[in-house]
Amino acid sequence: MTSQEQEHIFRDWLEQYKGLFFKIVRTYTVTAMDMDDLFQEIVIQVWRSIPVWKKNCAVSTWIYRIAINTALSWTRKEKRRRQTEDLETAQVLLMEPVLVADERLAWLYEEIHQMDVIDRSMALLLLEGFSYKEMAVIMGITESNVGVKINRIKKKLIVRSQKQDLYGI
Amino acid sequence: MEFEEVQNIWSAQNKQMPYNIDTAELHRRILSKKAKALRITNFTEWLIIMVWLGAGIFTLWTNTTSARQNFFIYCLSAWMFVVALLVVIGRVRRRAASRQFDRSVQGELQYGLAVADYQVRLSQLMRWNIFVIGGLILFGLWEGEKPWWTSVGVVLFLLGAWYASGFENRIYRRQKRRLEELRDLLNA
Repeated sequence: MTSQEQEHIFRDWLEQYKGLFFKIVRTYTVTAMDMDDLFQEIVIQVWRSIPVWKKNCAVSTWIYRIAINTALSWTRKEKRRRQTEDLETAQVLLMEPVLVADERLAWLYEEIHQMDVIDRSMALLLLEGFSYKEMAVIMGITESNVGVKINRIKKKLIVRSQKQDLYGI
Repeated sequence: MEFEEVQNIWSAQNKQMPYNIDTAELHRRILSKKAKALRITNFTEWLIIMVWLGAGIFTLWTNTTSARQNFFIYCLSAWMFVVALLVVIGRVRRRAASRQFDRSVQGELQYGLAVADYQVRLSQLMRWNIFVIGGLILFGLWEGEKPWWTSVGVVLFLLGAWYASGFENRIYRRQKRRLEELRDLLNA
């Protein structure tokens, strides 16, 4: 594969799946600086993966697999490494436009943030509508294990949402 | 709230794009990070290989050209070449394995654990290696009839190296433990 072809595929994927990248990044990070850092890390890994993409699975599944692995690895590293980059001079990649804040979505992200990193990945795949079979392939665990985890996550989200309803959100 | 409603909250964000991407900056960072990562890894590995190889060649050369040749220093040179070779093998394995992208999370964790285990074992091996190197140096000094304080200096230096390598070994063990915790979480 030539570098032009790689560049072309990359631009295409970035345009088509940028919503997916944003969701993953928001699921694993809290601060704007961390979002930027993880986004960069995921995009680099996706770029590097293009020449070895075998086209035997959907692009979205491929990207999710790489992105989740990168996010998990980033979360581990982030615990022992802090940004050495000068915060004031750093140029940000993700520029946030002015939007009406969705409180319910913010609540949902908050709930996902409170889960451990594995459940966070599972919740993300669940909300994105992946089947148990696809989740099992991405995570490398059995479908029954996926079922157990998903039931637990669903129950937790429902219970938490009911508590949240009491406060009027 | 039912789960379908939670799902609807999630899906609603697909209609709006919360961020814009500075693609020019992104492209610049990809190229710079790619080059930097490659440079750091390659530099570190080559440095280690060169240090062992260089030290092996140096001890071999000084021993061969000196009037009184020392058996233990020959052993020391041979041992240094063996260590350099082990690092080269490790590098080849790492490069081959790092080219895989189609791993599941479980697969990635198993790979991470294998790498962490390799690092722990290598670091432990290098720790015990201090005894081998130290022993050979001390025997070499004894055979070369060097003054006693030279041996004391060597022992002090090796004790420092033993302490520092213990610190490094603990870091690798902690990394491995974190991965094991994550694997247990995944399989729970």
